[in-house]
Amino acid sequence: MKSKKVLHSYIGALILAWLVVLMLSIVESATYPGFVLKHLYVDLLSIIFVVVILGFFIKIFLKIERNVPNYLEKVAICISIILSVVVFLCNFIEGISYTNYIFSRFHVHPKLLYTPLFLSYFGLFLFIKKDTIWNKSNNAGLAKYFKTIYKVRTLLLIICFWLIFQNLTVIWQVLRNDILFMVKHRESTVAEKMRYKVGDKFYKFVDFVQKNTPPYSTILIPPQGYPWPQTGNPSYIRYFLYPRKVVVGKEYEANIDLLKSNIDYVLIAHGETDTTEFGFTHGWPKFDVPSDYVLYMEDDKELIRQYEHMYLYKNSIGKEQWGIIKIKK
Amino acid sequence: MNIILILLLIVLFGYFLTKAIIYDTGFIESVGLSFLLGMGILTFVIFISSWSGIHISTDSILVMLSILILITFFVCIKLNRKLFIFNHWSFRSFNNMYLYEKLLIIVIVAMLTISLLLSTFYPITVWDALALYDFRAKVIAELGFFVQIAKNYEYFSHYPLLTSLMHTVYYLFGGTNPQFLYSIFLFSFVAIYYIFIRKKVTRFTALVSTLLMITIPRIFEHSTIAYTNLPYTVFYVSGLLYLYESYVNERYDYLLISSLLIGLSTWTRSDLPFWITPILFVVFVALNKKSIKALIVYLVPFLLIQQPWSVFSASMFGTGYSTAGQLSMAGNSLLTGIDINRLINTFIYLYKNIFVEWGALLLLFVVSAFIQFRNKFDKKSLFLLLMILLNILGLFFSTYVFSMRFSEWKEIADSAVRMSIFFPPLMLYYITITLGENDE
Repeated sequence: MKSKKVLHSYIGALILAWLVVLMLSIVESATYPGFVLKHLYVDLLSIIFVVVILGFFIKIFLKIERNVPNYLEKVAICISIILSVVVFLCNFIEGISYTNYIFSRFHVHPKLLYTPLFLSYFGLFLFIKKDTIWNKSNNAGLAKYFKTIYKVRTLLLIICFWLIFQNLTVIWQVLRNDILFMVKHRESTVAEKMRYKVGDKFYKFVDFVQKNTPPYSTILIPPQGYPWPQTGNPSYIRYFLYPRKVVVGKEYEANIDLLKSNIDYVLIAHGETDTTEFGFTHGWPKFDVPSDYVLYMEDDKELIRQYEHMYLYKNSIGKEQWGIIKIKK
Repeated sequence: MNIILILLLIVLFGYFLTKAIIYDTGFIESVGLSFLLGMGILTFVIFISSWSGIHISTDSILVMLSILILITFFVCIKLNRKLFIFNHWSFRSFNNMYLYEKLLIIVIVAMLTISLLLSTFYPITVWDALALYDFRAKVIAELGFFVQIAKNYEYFSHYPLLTSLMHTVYYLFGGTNPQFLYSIFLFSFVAIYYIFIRKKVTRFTALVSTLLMITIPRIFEHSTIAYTNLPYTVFYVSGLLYLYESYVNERYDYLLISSLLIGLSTWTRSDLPFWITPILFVVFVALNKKSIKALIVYLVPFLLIQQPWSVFSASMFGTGYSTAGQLSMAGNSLLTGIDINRLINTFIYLYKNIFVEWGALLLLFVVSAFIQFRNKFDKKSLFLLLMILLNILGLFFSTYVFSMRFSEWKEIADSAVRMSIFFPPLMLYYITITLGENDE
């Protein structure tokens, strides 16, 4: 009698815990990620983790099946069906509209709905009775079970096609621009495709550097990091400049004796991105360089070659410049 | 023209090798395996021969390929294999299919076509390919060696050479854009996956599962770019499927193919620890059967492929980069005390970056596992579940060990996601054979 009371209290606690995390996850999907943490000072994921582990333990080791109220099974089935339909509809509508449509229209985060969906299926696992799924006296194998229970197979099929549709939607979102470019620019050259993919600014610049430096020269490049994620990455830029060698400089100094070293050229690189990091700012080199000449790359103009004995950093402050400096030896 | 010829020769070598090992492959399975084994083994042989001083050129590659074709051809003749006898049922049966099955096939073919169009249209532009894989392919094509020149370049020897040498072969024979080869990997994978699924479930279920597999966004996206993740996935998952089938049907030829494929997965990427799982599996089978044969059949070819790169890495970067060194470092990280906080953070990191992306597939996987566990029948497919779970454990602990060694471990979430793209097809295979309708 006492052990039955204890068992009932475990089941009661489990039901309450499941309902609470389910409600909290639905609330979070209707508000914002972190809502529960902010207002209740508890991480929702941690609570779900604990409830799931406890639920597994109670279900498998305490064998609660006979003591679970019948209505609870129906509640779990209803909730999982409703949530499945809602999640499907949200993803379907978002897929045919645009990203964030559901959030902007209904203030619901479709991705966060997976958590209550998972919890509803977990509820099915906890509360559904064996007899509801298969007839034990037949000792039916899984194959026969699926042959006879057409509703389950139909549901699985719907889930599969829903997944396929969702996947196709994601693929379209990821590759849409590439596919449209391919359709609209069927006759484009390799250079045009490269400019589309690696960035117009960067590709034009490396093309300029290639054409205006000898193949076996050594070039000093900006430090690695935004705003020079490509021009400052030695492994990346060497692909475009090979067989030229590249040496990485620092922002405010060359980090190498330019007169004594075998550096032939120094890049002038404003920065191919607006973003910066590590405290870097646009414009490089930010130090003076002894030069034979400086060659600037200008948009749609002839190259400008300036014979300067010294590239002075102070003259380039505030200007967006791209070019190369031929080191004076 | 040269490039078409060399690709056909590579596939021919792969075909003879497939037939030499497995006597009863059908047309689709042969097509799937031919490219994988042909390209994989050829690039490996090129690496070994160039290490021993043979210049990589069109002549040397043709000679190597000719020798390989002749050897495998004579083995096939000796073993009385039926070469070039194709089973035509696959063509006739298309006409006999239901309309919805034909539609599924059309959609699959359309997806493969789109993948091929994208990979052919665009040149190689992805970061890692420009920084490493394609860069060294061009350098090797120009200079004709790898080991001998590796020390002259920064960031040149950090990953094995399968994809780079694949590009090199393509460039040497006159090609300009090898990126379409990654779509061919997808074609091969679709063929192998479909054949394996079809053995267990109805045609309709197999086609739905195959379509679902090919539309996994990461899988499809990687078939259009020159990263190593899709080739790795194809080799590794195909290898596991053959390993599982070798256990179910007690076939040593499948075990040998599995060993070659998983060995080639390490020849694609050596930094991933998942090759340990099949070895544990084979050890278990060997202990169960009290026979060392399975262990020898699996380990010898696998180690022959895996070890040379390990030895080379150790020679370049120190003994810590050999297989033994890596295992030792991982073991030390685990044995010097488990950091519970870090374990929890690792789980959260994997959940947010990887498990969430699996979405409904993970749910279905859990449901399938639960149903199988509760039903307690078909013990052999429980081993497939065990293989997947061991891989998940491997993912967890390798991420944990990585986090202990590198403070910026959380900043490369994209690498973690790419590392685990083989899980969805594997889980999908398991879900399909557990929940799908069979042909009984």
